[in-house]
Amino acid sequence: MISSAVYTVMFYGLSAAVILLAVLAVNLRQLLRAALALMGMLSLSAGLYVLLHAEFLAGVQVLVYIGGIVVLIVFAIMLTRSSELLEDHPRPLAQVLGALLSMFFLFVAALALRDTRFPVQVQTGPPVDDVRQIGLLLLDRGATGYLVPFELLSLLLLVAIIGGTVIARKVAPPKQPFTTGGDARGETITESARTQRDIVPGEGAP
Amino acid sequence: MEYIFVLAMVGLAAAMVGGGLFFSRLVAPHNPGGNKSVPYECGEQPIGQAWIQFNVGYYLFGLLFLVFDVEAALMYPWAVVFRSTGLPGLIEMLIFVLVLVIGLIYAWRKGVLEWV
Amino acid sequence: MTHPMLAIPAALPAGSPWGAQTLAERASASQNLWVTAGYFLLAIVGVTVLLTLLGMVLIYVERKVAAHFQCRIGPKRVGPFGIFQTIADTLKLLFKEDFVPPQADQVLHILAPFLALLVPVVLLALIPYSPMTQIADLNIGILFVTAIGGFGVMGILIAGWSSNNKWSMIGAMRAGAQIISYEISATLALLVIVLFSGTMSLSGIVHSQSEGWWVWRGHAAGFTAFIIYLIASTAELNRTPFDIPEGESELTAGFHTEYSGLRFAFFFLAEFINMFTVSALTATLFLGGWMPFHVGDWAVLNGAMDAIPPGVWFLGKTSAVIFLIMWIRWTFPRLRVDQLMHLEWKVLLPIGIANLLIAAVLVLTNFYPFPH
Repeated sequence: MISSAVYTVMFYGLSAAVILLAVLAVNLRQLLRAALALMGMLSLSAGLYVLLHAEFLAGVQVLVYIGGIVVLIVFAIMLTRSSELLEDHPRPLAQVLGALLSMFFLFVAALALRDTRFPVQVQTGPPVDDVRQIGLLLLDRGATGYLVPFELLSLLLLVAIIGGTVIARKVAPPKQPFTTGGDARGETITESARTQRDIVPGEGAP
Repeated sequence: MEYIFVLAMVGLAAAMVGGGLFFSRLVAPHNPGGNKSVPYECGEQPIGQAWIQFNVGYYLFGLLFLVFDVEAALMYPWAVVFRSTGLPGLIEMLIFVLVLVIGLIYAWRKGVLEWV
Repeated sequence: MTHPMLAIPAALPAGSPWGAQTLAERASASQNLWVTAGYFLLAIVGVTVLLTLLGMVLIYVERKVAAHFQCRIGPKRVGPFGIFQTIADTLKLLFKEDFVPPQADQVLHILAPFLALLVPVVLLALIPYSPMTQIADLNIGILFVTAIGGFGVMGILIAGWSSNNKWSMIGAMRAGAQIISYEISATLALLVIVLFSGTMSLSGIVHSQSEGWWVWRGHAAGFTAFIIYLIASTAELNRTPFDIPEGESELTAGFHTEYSGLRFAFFFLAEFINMFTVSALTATLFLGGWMPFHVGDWAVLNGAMDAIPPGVWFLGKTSAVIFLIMWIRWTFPRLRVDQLMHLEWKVLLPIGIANLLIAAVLVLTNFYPFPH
């Protein structure tokens, strides 16, 4: 009984919300609000994937982008002195340059969209199990399979671990005590806590 | 259709929070100001803001999590079709996992997994 | 014309004795717009009632269980055996001032409870309570359940940051790091179940357990996955022994220190409903959901077990897991933050990866007890 009108309304509603949230994510001055707008935008684009019947992709989008990347971005925001960034205003020259650059990218994207022919497929039968298909394709060793990219992906993830380890260790070597931003008092407290930890349980302090 | 019901549940959560707060605004007293405006630190006077630079350790664990999250996302379709792929599927996943285990061992040896 | 997305999904595997239909399937199958709207309303009212009832019952039960573990009596003044205590508490919170601290980020401070409540409300709609009672069954069920937890993490992080209070901030960061760390182990345990059952749909997983619950049908691998999932989800609930994010003695109340009145109640409610959803998922994935207890060919026992309605089986198993989680809380001492990270990254994660590979070998050799 539900016609494809519902589908059309949902598509345009979702698209409008995605665009609005994307603009907000770029323009909000408060970093965490921008991160939240990004989260909303990413989850609504997962909704678009569901409309396209790519349910597994939608699930992965929410799992990796919201549970992983946005959380990582929030942790990164906590690493900045975000309250000081609010008083920082971009120079007019940078603003003009940014506007020009984004106009250029918009132009290129519009050109690319105009000149690309999309092979439109009309799906008629019952929905197919996309997870099963993806799984079979990932593990397929034949010419049409994606086994090599799949295994290369693990190498990429390995590089990510090693890169993150190397870069972050430069910022803070593992032996550095826990502080909330390098205040001397915190360090001495941690130092005394460490010596206390060495006391063998049972002996106790005098 | 299933996803429309999920969307309805999101709406329900929003309505609950919104409606609850609206009703509470109607019946609850409202007089801000006074000592309530001071951040709660067990009676101490707060020194500075709470929006400060935080420990980098959280970021590192976030990064490690992201790697294993992507790994898990790729393992779901493998787990679903595993019955039909059989032994080759196991070997292919073994290679995939072993490379990541190398990464985990590297991070372990470099002391990233230590807290503090 | 009906769009493919709104069409009826493929039928369940043939030969399953329980004909299952979710509310969403029935709604899309009906030809009458009003009937569809009726199912819609039923789903919304159902979840609302369930949420309220569960909140009331769970908070009361937690207080009673805690009291008896500590040789106390617990609430007994409001109503017979104190059963109306939670209602009284809720009313009190409703009439408290809804106070947003002036130093806080006003918008985010109000948005955070919504994100926290979103997760349990959606999850309540996905759980198969009995063959006929489920609101929506997604074919990416388990993946969606794991994924949507990300909104809960964001709710906590935003609550802590927007409060602009040091306790909240530290509590939120700890909670975030803890939840995402333990999510990996929980996912690895869930992957074992996906391996065994070959499907990600929650009701499909229940159907796959008609010959035996995965907790023992999967041998040591199934049992290990069960234990890992129990530990990891207790940690994701921020409950003792994993409650450093809100350890009262050091952080006051963690990320919701600056929350008062009804918005505090939302966090509290979300926490308790999360405990229910975690237990319900454990029961569904490892303990057979609403499947009755069967032993091989013992026809008499199996017949007697079939006489108990599936909904009762589900409730019984879920309550058992809830009691287990409460028991853990009132038995173990709190872990330190470095012990917490050690447990996840150096103990549970290697075990989880090895366990998954062992489970794959088990599936490959088709080595199950009670074969048919």
